[in-house]
Amino acid sequence: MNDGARLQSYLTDVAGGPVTITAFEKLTGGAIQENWLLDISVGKGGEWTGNHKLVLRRDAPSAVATSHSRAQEFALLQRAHRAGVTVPLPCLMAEDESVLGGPFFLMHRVDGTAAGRTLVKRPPDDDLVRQLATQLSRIHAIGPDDTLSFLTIPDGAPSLVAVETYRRYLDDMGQARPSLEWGLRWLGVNAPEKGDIVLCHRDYRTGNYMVDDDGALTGILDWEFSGWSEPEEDIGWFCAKCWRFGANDRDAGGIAGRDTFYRAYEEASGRTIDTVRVDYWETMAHVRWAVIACQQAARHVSGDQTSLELALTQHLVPELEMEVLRRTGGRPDA
Amino acid sequence: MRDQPTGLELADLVQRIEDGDSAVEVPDDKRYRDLMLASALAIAERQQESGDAPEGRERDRLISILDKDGALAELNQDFAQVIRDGKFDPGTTQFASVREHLWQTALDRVRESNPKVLKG
Repeated sequence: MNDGARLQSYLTDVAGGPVTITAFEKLTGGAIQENWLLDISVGKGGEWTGNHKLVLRRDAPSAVATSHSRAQEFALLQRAHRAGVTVPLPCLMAEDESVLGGPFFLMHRVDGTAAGRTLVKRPPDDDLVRQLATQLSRIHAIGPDDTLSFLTIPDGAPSLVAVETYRRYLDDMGQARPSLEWGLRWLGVNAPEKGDIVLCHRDYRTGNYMVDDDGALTGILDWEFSGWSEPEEDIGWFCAKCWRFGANDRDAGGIAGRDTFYRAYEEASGRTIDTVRVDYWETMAHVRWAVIACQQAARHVSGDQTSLELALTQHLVPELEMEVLRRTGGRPDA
Repeated sequence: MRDQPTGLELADLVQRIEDGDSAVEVPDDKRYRDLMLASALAIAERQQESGDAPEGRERDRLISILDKDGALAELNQDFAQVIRDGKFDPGTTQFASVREHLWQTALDRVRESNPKVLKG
């Protein structure tokens, strides 16, 4: 029995009515998780009766060990949905590894595109950036509760925890990276005092949300790195130059100006953005992305996953290093 | 110091893809895939053009900063540790030469990986 047949059988048991899979194909993207388009038709007999357009999400062949499990990501999606965040509606978590060889979950499919390169080619969009700021404020309003008990609350300042974490990742990879060490040293010495601790998405950026053809935000995606941190971590990540896909004159994710994003966030959250703290986390963003890029490329180099995209990810690192140096007093003529 | 996969390894990867090796994952979007293939070959070409010179300069500067000889990878390991320990922080005697070295190394690396960013 192949994956599709096993899945159809499993879903028939769960749905309480006969399930027919009408489409099941792998979607592009997702270096860490795999997303599969799944259309099902459920015959009469249970709550699921009718046709459903879904996405099935499961681990890629060699997932990054630091990201959440699918069950944890499913819990985060459910929690975000309850908090009024626009996310694809989570509908089923399956831990039974006999179906597809590992855990997976289903969520409703949302319309639109997430492709950063496409989105930044559209005209500047203040309205979209305001929607994104409002969504982020809702995520940051989520506090610790039993459903998120798997997320560790940092003992000290999240910035210093991050510095130690990325040093450890570099050590684990073996190759010395002096420019990133320089950046991490600066981040260690210049760490701000511990701020408010909120739920952070920790990958909130252009490329990880869906927008339809009318410019409406249809879903915040990819919750696999979410955790407790300072709100400025998400704001800095969203605005970092490395996530503007070349639209560098639009600080807010390559979509619109930073001021628009800040004003909408402050209005929705009731918080005042500390620009010095955001700037610090923006520096961290470049270091973090460089470290992750090295980890992704290492999967190619090790032979775990031979991929043109992963191979080329390594060659983003020099420009990230240069940006880190620029931001930390490492440019001699600055 | 150059990263892996090197330009030569990227060129081999492109050859495997062109030979139809299904073990290599490539993006489904043809335009995106073609851009990536071109980018990989361009990196390979630029590394071939610059040869050993960038790594030679990097090694010479490190020998001067650390006052010791060795293979480039080993020198970089020592250098990274000393940075981590704060011995090249602002105010230290070697701060300026360390900063100059890091910047020159980054410039050489970006000239090979994506020289477009130097124009921006």
